[in-house]
Parts: sequence; C-alpha cells; structure tokens
Amino acid sequence: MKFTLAALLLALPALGTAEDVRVSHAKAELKCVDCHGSGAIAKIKRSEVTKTCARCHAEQLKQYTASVHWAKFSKGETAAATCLDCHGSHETRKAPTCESCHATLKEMYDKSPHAKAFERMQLGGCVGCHGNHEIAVTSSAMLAGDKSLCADCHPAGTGPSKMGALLQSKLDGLHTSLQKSAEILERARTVGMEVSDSLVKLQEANQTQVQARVAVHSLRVEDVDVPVKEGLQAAGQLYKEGEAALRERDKRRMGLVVSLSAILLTIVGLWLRIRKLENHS
Amino acid sequence: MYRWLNERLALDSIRELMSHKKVPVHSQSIWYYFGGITLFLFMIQVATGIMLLLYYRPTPTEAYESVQFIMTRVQFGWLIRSIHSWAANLMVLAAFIHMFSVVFLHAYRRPREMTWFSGMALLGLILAFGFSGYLLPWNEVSYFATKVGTDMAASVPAVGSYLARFIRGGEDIGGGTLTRFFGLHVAVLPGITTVLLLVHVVLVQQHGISAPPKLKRPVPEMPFFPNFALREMMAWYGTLAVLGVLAALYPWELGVKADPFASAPAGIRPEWYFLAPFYTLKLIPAHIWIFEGEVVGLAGFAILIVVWCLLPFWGVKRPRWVAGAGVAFIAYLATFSVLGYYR
Repeated sequence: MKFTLAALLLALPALGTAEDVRVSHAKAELKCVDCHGSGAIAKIKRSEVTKTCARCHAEQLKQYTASVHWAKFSKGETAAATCLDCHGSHETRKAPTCESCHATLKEMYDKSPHAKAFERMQLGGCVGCHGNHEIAVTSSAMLAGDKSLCADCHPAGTGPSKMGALLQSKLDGLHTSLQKSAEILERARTVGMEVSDSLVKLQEANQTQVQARVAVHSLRVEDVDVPVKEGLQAAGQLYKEGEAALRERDKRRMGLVVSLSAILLTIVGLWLRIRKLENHS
Repeated sequence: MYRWLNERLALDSIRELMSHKKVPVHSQSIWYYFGGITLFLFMIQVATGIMLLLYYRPTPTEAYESVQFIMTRVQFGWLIRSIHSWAANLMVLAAFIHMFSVVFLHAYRRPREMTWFSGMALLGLILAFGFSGYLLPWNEVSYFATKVGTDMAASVPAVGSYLARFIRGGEDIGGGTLTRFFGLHVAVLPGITTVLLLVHVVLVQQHGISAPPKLKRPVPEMPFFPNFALREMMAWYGTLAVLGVLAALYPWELGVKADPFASAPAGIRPEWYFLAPFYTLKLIPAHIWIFEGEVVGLAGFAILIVVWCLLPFWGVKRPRWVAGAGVAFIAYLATFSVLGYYR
C-alpha cells in the first residue's frame, strides 16, 4: 500500500487524545454488555477481539485485515498486533504505540532527521510512512523507484532521494546474496548432502537482513553498513559451503562410476570363470 | 603356502566336505541366492556398524550431533552411515524374499523344520535390529515412531505398562531408552543373531538344499563349490553395486534433531516393514465388543505369527493352502504398506 502524505493529512483531524476516545465511547453510551455480552460476563478471547471491535468499527477492520499484522495473526501468530495492542482495552486510546513492540525501530527513527521534521509537521511518527490500520508488508521498494514513499516528500535527484536509492541498493544486495546462498544450500540438501549446519548459519545470517532493515530508519549509512557487511560476509561463506557440498556430490558420483565399473568387471570375470569351469566339466 | 596352512588347518577336509555339497538346478534356482544375500548384508551391517561405533555417542544430547559429525567430518563417514542404513533395509527385504521362497518351494518339509524355526527367529531378530537402530540417530521421525511403537507394547493386557517401561527404560522415551536400544542393537542382538546364524547355516549344511517336491526325481544338481559359490559371489557383487548406487545417489537423510517437548509432526509413521501392521491397527475400531481394539489387533497378529511359524506342522500335507497363504500374506503386506504410506 502506498500511504500518501495527503491521505495522512486528511486523516489528522480525526486523531485525538486518549481522553477524547474514552469520552467518545462514553458519548456513544457504550456499556459493558455491548462488548462482553449479557449473561455471564466473559473475558473476550484474543482471537475474538477484532470481531468485537468491528461491530462499531467495520471500516477500520477492513483496513486492518489488509495489514501485515492481520496476515500474521490470521496464520496463528497470536503475538501479532490486534486492536487492543495499540488502542488498549478499557483505557481506550488513539495515540500510536508502535514502539511498544518495535522499540529498536523507534530508537533508530529517533536518531534520524525524520524524527524532528515529522514532529514539526505533525506527521505522526511511524504512521507517517507506514499508515496505521492498513500497515503493509515492508520492502526495499519503499525507499526508491516507482513505489517509493520517500518520493512523496523528496523529489527525484535530491539528496534524500539519492540516500533512499543507496540504502535500497544495500538492502537489495544483501537480500540477493542471502537468496543465492539459500538456493545453493537447498540444491545441496535436495541431492542428499548434509548441510544442516549451514542452514542453521543461514537462519542466523538472515537476521542481519532484519537488522539492516531496522537500521534504515536511522537514515545513516554507517548504521546500515554494519549488518549489511556482516550479512554479506556470512552469505559469501555459506555460498562457498553450498558449492563445496555440490562439488562433493560430483566427487561421490565419480567415485560411484569407478566403483561400479570395478564391480561390473569382477562380475564379468566371475561369469567367464564359471563358463570355463562348466565347459571343462 | 597352501601346504603349510593345510597341515595346520586341515583345509583338505573342508574342501572334501564342500565338494560333496550339491545345489539342485531347476527353473526356480534363482531363489536359492537370497539366503546368501541376506548373510552378505548382515556381514556389511557388522562391518559398517563397528565403524560407526567408533564415533557414535548414545546420549540424547550427543547422539544426533555424533551422527552429524560422522556424516560431515569423518572421511567417508557419510558413505558408511548411508550403506549401514540402506543395507539394513535391503537385508529386511532379502530376508522376506528368502522366507517366501522357502514357503513357495516348500523347503520347510521334514527334516528341515528346525531350519525353518531358526530362520523365522532370525527374521524376528532382523526386525528387532531395524526397530532398535531406527531410534539411534535421535531425530524427530525416529523419536516419534519409537514412541508410537512402544505405546503399542503398553496396550498388552496385564503386563503392558511393565513391558513398555522395560522397553523404554522409564515412563517415556528418553536417555534410558536410547542406551537400552543401543545396548540391544550393538551387543545383545548381534550376539544372539551370530549364534542363531551359525545354527541355521550348519542345519542347511546338514540337510542340504531342498528341491521342490513337484520336480521329477532325480533333480539335476551342480556342485556347491565352486559352481554355486561363484554364482553366489556374483549375486553379492550385484548387491554391492545396488547398495553403492543407493548410498551415493540417495544418501540416508539425518533429518531434524528430536525435541521431546515438541508435538509430533504430522504423518509420522514407522519404517516401511512395519507399515502394514501399523496401518492395520489404525483401521481397527477403538473397541470391539468388550475389548480394546488395539489389544484385539495385537492378539490377532500374535496368533497369525504363531500359525505361520508352525507351518512345517500344518503345511506339509496342504501345499496348496500354503501357497495360497503365501500369496495372501504378500498381497496383505504390499497393499497395507502402500496404504499406510499414503494415508
């Protein structure tokens, strides 16, 4: 989803304080039974929260079900954010609380020039680029190119735009290297080579990709370079391990051909011996 | 050199004994090779098993890692482990083929009853080798398959819980089970098998190789040594070639390390040679009249195994029944193994 600045600006008047929201629930004369049902008051199950809120907030649910949070939640990752994690339950609030789960991202963001600028322009921090309910899966395409979010504020050719392209190339380079390593290791695994150690190391190396994506939020090349360099080094080593496994496979096949030839020759020799023996007798 | 050895080992008398041994020659003679092939595969198992013993460590914390070490760090370790695993499977297959060839050639007849009994006991030992060895790499599949297998023992009436505890070395599969299975696999079973194998071979030597009763007498024969022995050697080399191809092109996978706290992965099933009884027990309803379904199933298997082992007593005068039972047995094993694999 491309969350445009214009859309955000249109949405801004709707944002209010926690006090406003509590008042709005009270104003709407919402009672306990409206959420918890009549009869025996039961705790609302985590899996039922979205359904409960959607009784009044159908539009927000529609946006939420298109988000990465819902994509994970609906696949059984119940730790993924749902309504209550951002808005609270009885102490209903509207203030964005992304940092309660994404603390490192917030730390990086606070180091960036965006932090002060967004505050000055009242762009709402994280939601300024990622939106709120409809938070899409992130990718390096958000940094440069047709789907760039940076381009909403920074025209092409400007310093920030170039910085976006540079960060994108670093992330993509790391992704491609890790992808190549994963492919060669998978090839080795499917032909029966024992590469489980390398596959564990690949999982660890994939973490550098996550770290690099987090570091992008500081908009400082040196922050991104640390995990990228580490990841590229690991990916290179893993690719070599994959190559070695495939070379070993080839060696084994060659060994098999030699062994089979020797066995075949022996069988032929035995057969000739039997024939000679039986012809004599 | 020969003279020197002959003087001390009386090789001539052995040669003399072997020269008298004859093998019947007829259209079904090919089945005579499978006993020797089973023996050859057993010898491979002993040799590769000893090599694996040098590095294997039978504890839950080290078993998986030691097998991984064998496969990745030890020179030709992958080949030894792969040959050991493939040869185990081929040995089960060869033993079954050998058993069915004895059945269809009616070779269990007097005076070979003891040869049949010792052969059946050897087949049971081969299956026990498979069951105990399967757990040793301590991977996810072997762990849960052993859990299912030992749970079956627990359902035996009266002694089930004691039996399961005895097999597992505790309430559940753990370190106690692994050391128990290891001891069984590398000491107890090889010891009993070697003795029984010697008895079986001596009995075969004593009574000679049986020719099917329907053949016109006298049945043409060939000397065991060297004619049949050279042919048997060809069969062994052929088996070695098959083993080499399987081990090199389809190395035996190690899988994921067992995690006793994880839930069992979907579609867990035992080795192929236990699939038919496993699937049969799955099909039996939970309760049959006043009995538990699994108990009825196990009792049924026990009765069938006893009846099958007593074949020399009821089958001699009913060769058609025996042939029918053999065909039905093969059809059951094939059908239920395939169904058990795919369902």
